[in-house]
Amino acid sequence: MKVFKRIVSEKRMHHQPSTASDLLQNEKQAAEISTYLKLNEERYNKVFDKNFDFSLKQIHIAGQEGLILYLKSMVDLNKISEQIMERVAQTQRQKDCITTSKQLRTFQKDYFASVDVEFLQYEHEVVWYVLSGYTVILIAGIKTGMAINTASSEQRAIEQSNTQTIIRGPKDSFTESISTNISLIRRRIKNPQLICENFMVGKDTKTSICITYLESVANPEIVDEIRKRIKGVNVNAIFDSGNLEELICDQVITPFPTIYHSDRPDTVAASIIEGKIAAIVDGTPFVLTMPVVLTDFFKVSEDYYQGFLMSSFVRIIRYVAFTLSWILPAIYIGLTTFHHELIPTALVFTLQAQREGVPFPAVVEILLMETTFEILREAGVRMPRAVGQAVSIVGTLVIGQAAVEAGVVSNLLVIIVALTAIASFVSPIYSFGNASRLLRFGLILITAALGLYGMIIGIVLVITHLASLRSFGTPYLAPLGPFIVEDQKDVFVRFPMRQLKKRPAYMMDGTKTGMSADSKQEGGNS
Amino acid sequence: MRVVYIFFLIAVLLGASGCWDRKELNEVSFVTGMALEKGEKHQYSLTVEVVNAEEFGGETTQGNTGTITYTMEGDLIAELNDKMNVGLARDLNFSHTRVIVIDETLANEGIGPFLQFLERSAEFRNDFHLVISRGVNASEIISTTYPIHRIPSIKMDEQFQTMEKEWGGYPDVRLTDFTSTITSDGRHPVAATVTIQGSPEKGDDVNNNKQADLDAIVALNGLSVFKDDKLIGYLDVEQARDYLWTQDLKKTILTATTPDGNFFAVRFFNSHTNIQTSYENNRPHITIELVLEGDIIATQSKVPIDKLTRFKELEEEAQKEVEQKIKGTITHVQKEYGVDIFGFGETMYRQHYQKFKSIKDYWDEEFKKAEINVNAKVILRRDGIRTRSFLEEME
Repeated sequence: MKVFKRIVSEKRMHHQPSTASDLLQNEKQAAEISTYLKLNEERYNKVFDKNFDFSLKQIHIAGQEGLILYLKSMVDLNKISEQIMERVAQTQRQKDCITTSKQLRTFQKDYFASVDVEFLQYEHEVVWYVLSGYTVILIAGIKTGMAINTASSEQRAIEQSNTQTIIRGPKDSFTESISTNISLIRRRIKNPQLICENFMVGKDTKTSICITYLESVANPEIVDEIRKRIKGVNVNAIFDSGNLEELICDQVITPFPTIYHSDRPDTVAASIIEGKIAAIVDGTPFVLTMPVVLTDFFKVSEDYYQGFLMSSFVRIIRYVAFTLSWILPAIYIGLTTFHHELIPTALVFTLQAQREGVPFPAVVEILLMETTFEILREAGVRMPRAVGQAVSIVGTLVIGQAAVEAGVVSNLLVIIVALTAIASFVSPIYSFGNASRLLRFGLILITAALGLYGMIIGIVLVITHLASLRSFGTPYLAPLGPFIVEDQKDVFVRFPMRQLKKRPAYMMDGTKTGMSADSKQEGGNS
Repeated sequence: MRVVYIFFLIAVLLGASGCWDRKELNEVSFVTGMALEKGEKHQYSLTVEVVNAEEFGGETTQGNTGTITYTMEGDLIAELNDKMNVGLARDLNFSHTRVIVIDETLANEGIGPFLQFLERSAEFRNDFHLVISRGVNASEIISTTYPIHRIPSIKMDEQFQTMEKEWGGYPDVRLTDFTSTITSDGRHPVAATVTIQGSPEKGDDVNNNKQADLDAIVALNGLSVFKDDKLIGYLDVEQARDYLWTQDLKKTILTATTPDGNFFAVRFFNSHTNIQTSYENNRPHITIELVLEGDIIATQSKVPIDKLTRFKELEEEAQKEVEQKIKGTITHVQKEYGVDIFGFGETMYRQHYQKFKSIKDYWDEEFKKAEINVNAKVILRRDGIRTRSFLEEME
């Protein structure tokens, strides 16, 4: 295991060669903005020269020569004319020329008070802001540049969640825009303690990452650890929170996700209230929350929106389904090829009759059908929507029914594969359901070799592995192992709300940072 | 280092098992019944009943026979079990064996040597019925078909269990019960007896199932009495129930006569048996105390059952009937066979250990002269949904 850890950490730390064009973006070679406009013009033209959408114009501003830079494809041109050019025209009436940075700031308060303005010191900042859709104004003789946010606000509207659907509860979901996502969380948690810290990751993509937590309840050690790991990430590109998840999680070589992800604002808000830390990555609707424990993957936000009896019932169903989804095929193989005596007498004859004439051993039969199903499933996800029907017809009718009629597989096996497949979809988090897919094949093979004895070995190995997993220092099996009695109220069943007053004990740390123990324990639950 | 250690552990675990006992379901034939007879040339003749599973698969049913029987002779059952493929297609699997029928002629000579094989073998479970065939060959018992289960042994299994549950009269003797009583000082084994009503020759045809009045049917015939592992005699079905009463029977139905000379029936749903032993005047004294709780389910008498006194009368009659029956059966066994199948010796072993130790070598002699007392207490709880019958108004 140490070997793997080392490889992973080396990969994390490894410096990939950066592209030549980003020399100006490199903070290590920070150069201050020049006061000579000519020099500036040359420099930025060199950077953006080949881009057709780059615009660099000379303007008169407040009695001075100035430059205005932006990328036409990134900005809203209406904003530039309304918010900048009109005001720049007004500045012509000003009598005094501005010559110092201090005067620039006063100037900004007079003319650009209502817009989002940043002051820039370095050349690489100018480049980054231009790339982000800002319009940068440089004035001759002044070392400070002014970046005005004119980014076009084109983005997907807030829609219903596609991946985690619920029947009752908030329907909105995160979008690709980080500011929209933060607003969706802030709208739910109106608490000054809610902190949003910004990070920038990815040498080429410069992706914004925001970690969000409630300062009063989040474990500061975990927050520190997350900051440290995000800062340690050294890659060229981050496109999805999945990239980040793999780079900051505790262990990569495991089928189980050690970071939770959701595109539901209510789920993320509930996690934050619980003391977890969310990481929002710009450009993806999936928000990470951490730390996470195994039992979190069996909870759905709807559990708390409907009655506790029904919630407890469906939660037990989820546990049963997950167990079935990775153990059932192995049980079938174990019973039919090794332990005939464990099958009830009446059933054994029916099973035997079904297997009459089936040419393959049970393990080949089941691998055949499971692989077929995996292919269908993958095709179902990847195919263009237009051919969707064709795949489902071929999948269900041709392969399922025809295989039985042709005598290649037995009837019961089709039932088992179907049940297994459906059971694996019950898990609220898709990536967690995927864990059972991998485990299932492992368990099938070991059972085929060793019978139920092998199945037990397999299960023991999986449980041992689960017990060894950590998510930012939290044992993955908590609150089952270590067993925490007071947390059992919200594991297999959900107790009524009135009794769920405390945060999970495994989330808390010994040290307190300025908050009393009471306020730390009070509050909501997810 | 740790990786090496883990791989080593896994290697050890894998080595502990393997695919050697891997058998696909359609590579085996399940044996549901076995019949053991005396062989002509060899010591034994073994008949196995294997299931033709295609007949039980719904779609695959073709109307053929549900079971196939095959007979072979040999000196040891252990060898025969694996040699059966002289005639049968598949490897035999004995884990679902339901019934083992032993021919009475073989049982007369002792079945101990055969039982030791069953006990030693890991393939057999302990949940099959051990029965003795009376008047017919054992092999005919397991080849007599029946329309409902179509597997004779499965039919018998269900028949025996239902009989035991509803009326009593079937001693649920399993292999370990039998072998432990053989070696016990204070008890001799019993086994259920089965026979065929009708003509055994016609029974093994599937066409036997196509008529309402079956040509042959396997019927329970009471108990076989053993002296150690040798069959020495029989008890009928009524006596079998009396025997079971001494063994703490839970549920049965008793017919007795009312003081005015009509029949009435009681269903006992809860009863307890307690045996007390003592040794006085050079003979064992055995007292059997029964407490029986029951409902009146029928009476042909016109006297209404609406007074407590009437209940008392009927309770007394039922009590008398039970005591008389049990005592009669025990006396019959004492006189006829002289073996303690009731386990009174075992009770004495527990209650008067020192005394029993001195007489255990000739306990059967002591049992023959033992004085038997049966005290039954019948409590009638209910009388159905009528207290007064319409018979009362009928003239």
